[in-house]
Amino acid sequence: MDIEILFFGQLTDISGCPSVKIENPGSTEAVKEWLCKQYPGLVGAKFVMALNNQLIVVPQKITEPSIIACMPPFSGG
Amino acid sequence: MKEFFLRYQRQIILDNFGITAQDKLSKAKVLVIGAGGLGCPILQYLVAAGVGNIGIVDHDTVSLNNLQRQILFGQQDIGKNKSITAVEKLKQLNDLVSATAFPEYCNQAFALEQFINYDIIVDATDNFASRYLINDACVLLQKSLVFGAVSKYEGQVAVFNVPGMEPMLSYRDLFPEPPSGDEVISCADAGVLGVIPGIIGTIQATEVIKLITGIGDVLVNQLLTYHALYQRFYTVTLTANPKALHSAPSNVEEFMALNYEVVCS
Repeated sequence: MDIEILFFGQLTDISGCPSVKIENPGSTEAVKEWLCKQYPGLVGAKFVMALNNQLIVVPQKITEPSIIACMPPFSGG
Repeated sequence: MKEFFLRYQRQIILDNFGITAQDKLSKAKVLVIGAGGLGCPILQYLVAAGVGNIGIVDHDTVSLNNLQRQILFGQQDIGKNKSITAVEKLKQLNDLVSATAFPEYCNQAFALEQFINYDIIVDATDNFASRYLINDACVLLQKSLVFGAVSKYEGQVAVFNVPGMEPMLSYRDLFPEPPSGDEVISCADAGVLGVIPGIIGTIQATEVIKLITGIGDVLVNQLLTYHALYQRFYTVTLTANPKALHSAPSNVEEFMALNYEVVCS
């Protein structure tokens, strides 16, 4: 079972692509670990994650094909 | 009265709008902070639509590299204060609207003194210090906040802290702490496509009009992200973040004591 990870803002510059599909690692924490290992530039970057369009404030299990969005804050105006 | 009907005829004839919604707009008071890339289209559309009372806060002056996206201003305005110039232009657009210029920086004292005079606060600023200050003031004073921000080819819009629409979430439920200086690149460093603040500002103006008139579903407690290169809209529903309680000032004294410039640098 795959999950899709979407990158927004400057995170796209770090990942080099707007989205990536990976084998479900089981939880949002595991996704974050995978991301930081795959893209070391993300370690110091500020961003939040949303699981299936719902913002995550505590770690969640991923039990079905899902979309994870990684979103940084924007300051420009 | 005839001018009133003629001027707003195209929206008065809309289903679910009518004279009732137009009257609500005429009585509304909206404070727009920042008359830059986001502020210009927000102000133009709110004034054109007939929002009765608009305050415009901006201490900055117009410069040549603003004109690529700050569409209220022309070459002859370079060097002039943005809020005062904006009021002059907006009066030419609609003299039924009362527009007030605040050619100053929105600091804590200004927020506490002025936010209470308005129904809705619009964040059209360009830095995190202002954004967290405005957010915290809206929470303390229980004011609806229409947030917008841009970066390169993308933008974000959200509506926070609407009285009567529980839970009253704020920007700190999304990002409890401001990023440090090197965590996010500013527009001055990263650049922005001129149409992006146009699109995001226009969405903010739409949400202000919906909030005032009660039509449609407002983006309350949701973050809408737009990406121009892929023409992609993505909406995320927010949830109360326990960290927000610890990071936000809980009263006016704590708010006044916070140094936003330092915290957000």
